[in-house]
Amino acid sequence: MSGLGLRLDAALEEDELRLSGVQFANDRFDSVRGRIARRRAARAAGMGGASALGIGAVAVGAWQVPWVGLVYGTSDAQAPVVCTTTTPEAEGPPAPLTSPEGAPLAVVDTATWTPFFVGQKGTTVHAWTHDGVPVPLEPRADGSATLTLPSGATALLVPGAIEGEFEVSDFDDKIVMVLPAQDYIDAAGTPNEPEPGTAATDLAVTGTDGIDGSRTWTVIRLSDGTPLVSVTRQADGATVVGYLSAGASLVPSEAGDILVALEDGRTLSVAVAGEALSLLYLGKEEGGTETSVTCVTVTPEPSESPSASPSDAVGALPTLSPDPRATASEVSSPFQCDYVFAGTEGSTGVVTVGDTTWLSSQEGVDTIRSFYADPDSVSVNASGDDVPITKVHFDPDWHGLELGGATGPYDPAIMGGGDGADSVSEGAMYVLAANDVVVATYDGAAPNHEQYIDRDEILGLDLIAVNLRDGMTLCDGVDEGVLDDAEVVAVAGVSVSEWLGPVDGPYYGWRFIGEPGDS
Amino acid sequence: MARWEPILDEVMRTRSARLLAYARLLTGDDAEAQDVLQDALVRAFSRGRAFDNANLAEAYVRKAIPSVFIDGIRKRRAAERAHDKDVVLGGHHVLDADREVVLDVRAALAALPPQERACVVLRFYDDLTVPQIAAQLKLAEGTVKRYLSDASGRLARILGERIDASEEAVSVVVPASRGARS
Repeated sequence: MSGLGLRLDAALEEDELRLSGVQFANDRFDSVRGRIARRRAARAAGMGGASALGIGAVAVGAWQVPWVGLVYGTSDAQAPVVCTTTTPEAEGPPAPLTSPEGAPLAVVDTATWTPFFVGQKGTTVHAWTHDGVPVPLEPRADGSATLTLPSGATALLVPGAIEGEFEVSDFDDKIVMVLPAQDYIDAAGTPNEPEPGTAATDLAVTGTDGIDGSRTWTVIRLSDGTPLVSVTRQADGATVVGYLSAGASLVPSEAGDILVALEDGRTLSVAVAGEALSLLYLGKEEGGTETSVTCVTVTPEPSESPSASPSDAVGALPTLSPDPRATASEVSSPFQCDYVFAGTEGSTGVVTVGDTTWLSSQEGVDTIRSFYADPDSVSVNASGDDVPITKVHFDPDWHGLELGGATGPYDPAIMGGGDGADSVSEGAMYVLAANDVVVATYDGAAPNHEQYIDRDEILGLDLIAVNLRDGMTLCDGVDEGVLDDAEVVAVAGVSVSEWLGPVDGPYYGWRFIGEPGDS
Repeated sequence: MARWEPILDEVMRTRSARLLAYARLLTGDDAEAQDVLQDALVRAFSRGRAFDNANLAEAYVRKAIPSVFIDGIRKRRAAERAHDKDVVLGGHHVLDADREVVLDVRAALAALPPQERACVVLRFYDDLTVPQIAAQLKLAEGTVKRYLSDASGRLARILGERIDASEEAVSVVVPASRGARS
């Protein structure tokens, strides 16, 4: 450890003796526990962060998808969601609850997992505990009522015009879960134990749509909020199992079904139909299920390569690895050799490429050097060519993240999560295109390329490249003479992935930046 | 009681002092350190990860602390920018006014902008490499190098000793690019 490191260590030791962890725990444990419980519940419900892109819970086929017709309250949901008390036409257990208002919904306090049941009689909303004791509601002037839960979280109950239809939403920055009571809990308030051959009511399903036309569902255990399996239906219709939790394994099926052998010996059947995922416990699996299969293609065969081809044009975005356990794996952007740009500028969202300023070679070198605390220690060799600086902007409302930074002359690739933290990946670079087709890409080994943050813009970066053309590698089969007429294109990309969660993105932007003298 | 609650309880009761001290290196303030630790606990335990023991949980919480700190800074960057300038100027002022205070490494840290402070703690206390710091703070390696370079200059002035901030001299020669694949 360095001298400074020793000083820091000493300072930390001193503070450790001074600060009281017990006091901290006494003061904050309840608050921390409540926040964690709500987040885990929201996560299980697919409403956490990026996963709030959509919930694909729609009844399909003969099976009852868990949480059909559910409404998940979240602080992000400004508009209340209409839900009904109509009893689902499920083969699940009949509602064991005796309620004055018919089939109820369960509003679950996620801090304590205490369910409260709500229903509407006439135009009045009621709430009661699992043993039928009415729960007082706080009436509001507009006819709605507030249900206050033990944790302090609140649910707003808004009666509808039709009996049996009302709205539930949460507010006050709290999160509650709203579940069909009869599917979730028995009369004693205990979560139902799924029996073989029944719908998997102890699981939740989240669904997200990819911009490439794919859709990924993640099955989550409600008991602890951990993912069990994820399934992706690719744009071409292929269905791929991308993630399996530890202890689970795929069971080969001649029929091509997705069968997951669980640690407890049961087998879970997973089927994609329409926009939903249906789950069914099939019962104990006979014999061993020792299999090393970690990925299975159901039907049809997936495309062999996600890379773009000239005919793919702008829609040819890379297919994300559906395996969220990928450790810092990277996926190339579509802006590779032979990629065809559909226009001189464009964006798939979130990231846009702005204007370019051309500097003289020396100005470019000075700009780079000036960015360092000790410019004299920075050596930049320039060929004398003009240097482009292109502005890349990110949507400030996207995930509430502030992106931007000196990312290096990177390919705008995406990076998978897996390091235990959310992962934000952004990148930008230049490529050369002739007749809208990429003919040369940046050579990562070439020196004197750098980009840096624009200190005056929070949500953006400046992409700068010295010796731009020297740092390019010709694509296979491209004649060097093509470079004379090739145009410089600035490309950028960004994505966010949560730990073991869905990936939002990647989003891409590009712009043909012209030649020196254009700006 | 949920499975994770006993581990949370153990971590909060038996590990909080050290975690608070670690957070305070970054925040320079006891109250803010508590807020950062609270958020780090929430973040670490909300991931659905099943912690087997308090040691593992503590490691994740500790790892989350710099990220939480930096995220908080990002969210209020505009306000912090002005604050950063004040702090930096304050640091120079302290240098002239009170040598004793300056010699305190905590005062020196407080003189740094938050992002630089986080990089310094991760580099010199946690002995992380530049790429590791970049990954943890979701920053580019070039940004981390710049922060360390700037911070080392300020710390050297305040502490009166040479600070070798990086494993290697800062250079704009292209680093190993995450986008560069063979």
